[in-house]
Amino acid sequence: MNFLKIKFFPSNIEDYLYFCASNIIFIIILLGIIEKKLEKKNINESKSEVMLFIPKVHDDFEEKRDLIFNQLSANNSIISVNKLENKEIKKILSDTLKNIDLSDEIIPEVYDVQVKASKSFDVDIINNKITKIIDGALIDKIGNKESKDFILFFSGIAVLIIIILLNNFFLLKNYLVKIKHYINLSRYFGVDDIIILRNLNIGFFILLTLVFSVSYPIFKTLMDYNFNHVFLNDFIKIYLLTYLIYNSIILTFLSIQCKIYMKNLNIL
Amino acid sequence: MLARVIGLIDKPAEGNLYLLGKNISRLSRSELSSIHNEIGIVFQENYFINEFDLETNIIFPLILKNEKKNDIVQALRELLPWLSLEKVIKEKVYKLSIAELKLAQFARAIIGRPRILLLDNFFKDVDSGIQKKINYLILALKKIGTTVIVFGQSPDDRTVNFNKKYEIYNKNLEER
Repeated sequence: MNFLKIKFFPSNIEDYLYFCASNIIFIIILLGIIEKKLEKKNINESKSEVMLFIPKVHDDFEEKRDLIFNQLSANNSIISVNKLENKEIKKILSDTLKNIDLSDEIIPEVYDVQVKASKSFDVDIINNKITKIIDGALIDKIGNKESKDFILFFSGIAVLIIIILLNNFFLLKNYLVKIKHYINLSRYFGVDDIIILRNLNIGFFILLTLVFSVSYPIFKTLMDYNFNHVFLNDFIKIYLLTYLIYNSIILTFLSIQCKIYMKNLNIL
Repeated sequence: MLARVIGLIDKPAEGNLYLLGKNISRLSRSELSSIHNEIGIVFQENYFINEFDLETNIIFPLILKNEKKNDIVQALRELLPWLSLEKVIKEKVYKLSIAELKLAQFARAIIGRPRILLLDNFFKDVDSGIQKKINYLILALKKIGTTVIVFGQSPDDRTVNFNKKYEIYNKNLEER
């Protein structure tokens, strides 16, 4: 006689296996998205998105451009400067230019400037210096890329959460239908609804703990093997937080569904 | 229908039902559970959980009510020889005969020592040998203060002793 199975896992083993397998997959995807975002955030924190624009002038352009670079190299917070191709610049400006075709001569030279985030970086001071060398030369901070990433991250997470909730909603609904006789007979022989609810919650809490314990090594192995990924120091904290939130949401879902289901089973 | 109402499965269509001195229409869900606790019911249809074996089907309400494991095992050991269910106790319920299932239902209903035992159409397809065994158990239950209510077809008066018999006539219960 397996008292634990009768109390906490009254349905078929297949139901629990399916619940575990689907949740392991979702947790790995969820952790992958979170880890990727945090990694990007960390990279973005160590640099800022800064662009340098140098309009093409006819007189001594290359000499003057070198002078600008000399000025920039004197600045400690600038790590490197990379030139963007004309094609890339046209692509960036395509929304503004619509169908206007620009000749390469009038397109300014644009550089991606890598800057240390830890050091203070005063754009105005540099701009004052470089505009004296070439009129219209400009260095500017651009924050567009990060906000796009942020939207992408949140929409990804939102879609995944909806899928997780829907999957678990239907799994739990099906599960409750399967244990209908168990619930009914328990009630007919005097078992309180709260005890049934508590036992089912304990059962699913154990399953989710198992799911998270299995997901961790799988996720680590996958990341190590496929991406040679180095985990962030606070990954364990994120993992535990995800575990707590995930558990609370699924168990709340189960409790609400179970309560509604039991209420509709029979009047008394 | 009457068995289901007294068994607190269905609500009475009208009027009040008093069980163990309480009006059931005024009770909360947990208060109803405590009254359910005092009622053992044998259903007309064989109502079991197919995933469990017979033993689990008989004792699972006690397990959920956190009865001591030793007490449950002891109660089962005392009950099974009376009902000749020892040989099939580890079988899945779908492998059992109708008579075995009836006896199993009876075992499940009385293992918790209820104050009221409801037998819904229980004696319909039960042979006289089993009727006698059941009668001994009913007598034993009556001695410890259990009220036994039998619904439906009446068994042979020589095998089962009843204190009172009623008939529903014109929506009224009339003593026979």
